[in-house]
Amino acid sequence: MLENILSVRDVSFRYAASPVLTEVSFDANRGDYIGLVGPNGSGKSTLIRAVLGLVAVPGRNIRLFGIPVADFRDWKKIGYLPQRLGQFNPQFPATLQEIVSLGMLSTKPAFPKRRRAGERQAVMQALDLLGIADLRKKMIGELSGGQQQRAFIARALVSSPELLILDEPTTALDPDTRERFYELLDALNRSQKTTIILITHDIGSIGRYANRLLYLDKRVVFYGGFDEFCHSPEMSSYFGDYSQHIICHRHDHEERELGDL
Amino acid sequence: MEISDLLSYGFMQRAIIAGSLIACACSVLGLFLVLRRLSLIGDGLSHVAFGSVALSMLLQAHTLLVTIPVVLLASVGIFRLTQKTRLYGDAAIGIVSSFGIAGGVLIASMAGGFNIDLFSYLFGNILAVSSQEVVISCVLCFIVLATVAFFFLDLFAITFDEETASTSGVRTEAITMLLVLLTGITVVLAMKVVGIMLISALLIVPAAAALQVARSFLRAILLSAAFGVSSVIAGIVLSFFLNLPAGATIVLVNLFIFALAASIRLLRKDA
Repeated sequence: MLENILSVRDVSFRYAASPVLTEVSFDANRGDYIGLVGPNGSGKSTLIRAVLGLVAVPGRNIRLFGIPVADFRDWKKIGYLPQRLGQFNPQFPATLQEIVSLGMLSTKPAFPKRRRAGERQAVMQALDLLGIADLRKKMIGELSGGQQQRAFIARALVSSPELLILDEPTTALDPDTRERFYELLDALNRSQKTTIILITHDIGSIGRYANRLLYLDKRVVFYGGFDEFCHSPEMSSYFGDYSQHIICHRHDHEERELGDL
Repeated sequence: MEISDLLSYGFMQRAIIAGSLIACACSVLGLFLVLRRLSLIGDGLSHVAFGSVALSMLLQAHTLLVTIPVVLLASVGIFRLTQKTRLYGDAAIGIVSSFGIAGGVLIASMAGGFNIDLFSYLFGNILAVSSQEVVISCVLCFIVLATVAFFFLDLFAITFDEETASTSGVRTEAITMLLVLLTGITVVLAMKVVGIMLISALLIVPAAAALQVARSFLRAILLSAAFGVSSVIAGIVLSFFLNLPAGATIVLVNLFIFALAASIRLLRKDA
């Protein structure tokens, strides 16, 4: 039986008079890998922030692991990488290892938050996974954009979350690292049944890995499998045949390239 | 006279014990404040402290009994203004600060004008600290430092990024409020050390110096505390030998340490 991890029902939100989300509904079950896509200003980040309780939406229509988000306290189940973390203060006096260790905060009891046995090992594993273990003593502000992004991804992964939410995580990554990152997420999703929601503009790449595509434009335009998206007449009429073909063709092309390897 | 002779004086022992603890609390909190761009909160709260010292003189009450609750209320006021209105922290600090100064001047004039006691709070008089004030300062500083140690990881997390801290289960509003309240207590204690006019130096400069040379967050905290404490001890000793006002000398030693730390950073960059 499918275990519901996230349930969003008829969620609407507006900033002043401008609607940002209109009656958005979707579910995520354990092991789902959802690509959340849509144009700029379509409400993707707002939706994610509402899911995490960072934006208060009226009602109790968002449930994490069956619990209304306002009452949810089991944060160790969640790993989150916000989009704007790249705008942190570059003079901040912390090492990469200290920043990644912050990801373990949710695994500690409320009081007192002391270092626990095995924590260092978990941090080292996350650093190894992202290929940045040798940089652990470096100051976070001294790293390149791509290395910083890997550090923040490591921080989101370090507590082995059951639900991983990543807001445009691949923006600062070079193509090789980006590919390895997608493969890492794919492995996590398959081996640990980690539920993943990944915001991206890279529909072609995400289509190769995600089992569901959520196309948002203030409302849910499409929610389903990638193949379904590519063969949907509604999507053809929404995007136009050409745009749909470009997205889906790129996906086919990349799949063929992978098959040739 | 040698330093050992100097330390045999009771007033000097009291000044160094109280001053070191207060400087430690100031510089530890200062690092969080500087990184959260709340550096000027010390200035704002010290202006409120000025008003409440004037009020305590008008009421002929013990200074700490009046200033601590008033400054804590002002701390909550700054926090609420930034949360409930669309004001940035500096604007909220400016509002509360001007209210404190205006209130202080009005109350002082009602009490018959400025007197020597009020001036001693404006510019500090650590050498005149009483045994009772030393005990109160030690207890309050211990509470402040113990609270910071207890909530260190939460404070670290919200200082780096509030949003991810929130999704790690940190109660960001409560921890920010705690930081502001602890700052309020520390500002009241620091009035005696450097005076109302120079409190923000004790909060900002050791932290700013530590940020020049620290290579991790933990080291930044420890260095900030070390710079703050050593500036107070050196400032008190120097002021005694050179017959200078202690508060101003402490601040100048702080600035010297900052210049040294900034030079080390520049030399490291060139190397």
